[in-house]
Amino acid sequence: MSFVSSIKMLLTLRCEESTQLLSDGFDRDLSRCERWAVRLHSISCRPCRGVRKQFVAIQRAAQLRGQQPQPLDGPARQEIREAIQKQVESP
Amino acid sequence: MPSTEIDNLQQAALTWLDEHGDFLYGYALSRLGNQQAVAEDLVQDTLLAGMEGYARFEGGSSVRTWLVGILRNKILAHYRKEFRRNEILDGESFFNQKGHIQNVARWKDCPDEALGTAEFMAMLDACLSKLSPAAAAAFMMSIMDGMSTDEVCQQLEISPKNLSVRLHRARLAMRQCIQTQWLAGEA
Repeated sequence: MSFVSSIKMLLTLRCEESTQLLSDGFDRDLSRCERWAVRLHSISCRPCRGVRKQFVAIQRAAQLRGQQPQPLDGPARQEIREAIQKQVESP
Repeated sequence: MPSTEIDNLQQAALTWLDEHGDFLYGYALSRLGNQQAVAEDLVQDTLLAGMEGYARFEGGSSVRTWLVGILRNKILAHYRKEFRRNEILDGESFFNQKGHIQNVARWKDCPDEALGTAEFMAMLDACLSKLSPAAAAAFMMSIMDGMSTDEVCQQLEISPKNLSVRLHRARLAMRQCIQTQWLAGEA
């Protein structure tokens, strides 16, 4: 990115772009310029400070949720067992 | 197919049910907004599909990884079919004309410990069910499954840029939805 575009980005970031970068930050490394742009925006934008915390909460909760074990109950297991036993190659 | 081969396949599938059934069910449930009946159906479909496709399984990955792959595809198909009507939430404008974000409240009493509670998980579940198919797919694979950008883009056949936009919208939608629920709980 050119020097002028970097400065432009740093100074004129809106919530839309800032939250996009916040989101990206979970999935890739942000450039130094991008990190500074988010910081500068956040200094004067309380809602986006809130959004950052909430994105973090959602990320953690989703990862936790994705790992939660849950056993199949007896009747459900039995139903699946029966379906397996009924399965035959169609002619 | 000779009957002994059918017996072997059935035996294999029954073993998969024993060894992987609970894992597959937990996996499905957490990605389907806790809908038990749907999760049970998809686990069943996965094992049956595994029986059908076993000849093509070359054993490159573990059986569990292979079965999860089948199940993941079935969940994606479920999103495409059942979450279609959710497009409206995803299209909501979270920003006003000046590009400022709207409706951000403080989630009082939402410490780290609250995140693992059944209460918060129920909100996550309810809100996941309201995502568009595109957002749900991105949310599941990138965040819940922790797959790399490359893997997700390859499987969904989208560009990295498209994925980043989807994830942004998914996070915004989840945040908005969970906030509504959280604030309702505070009242």
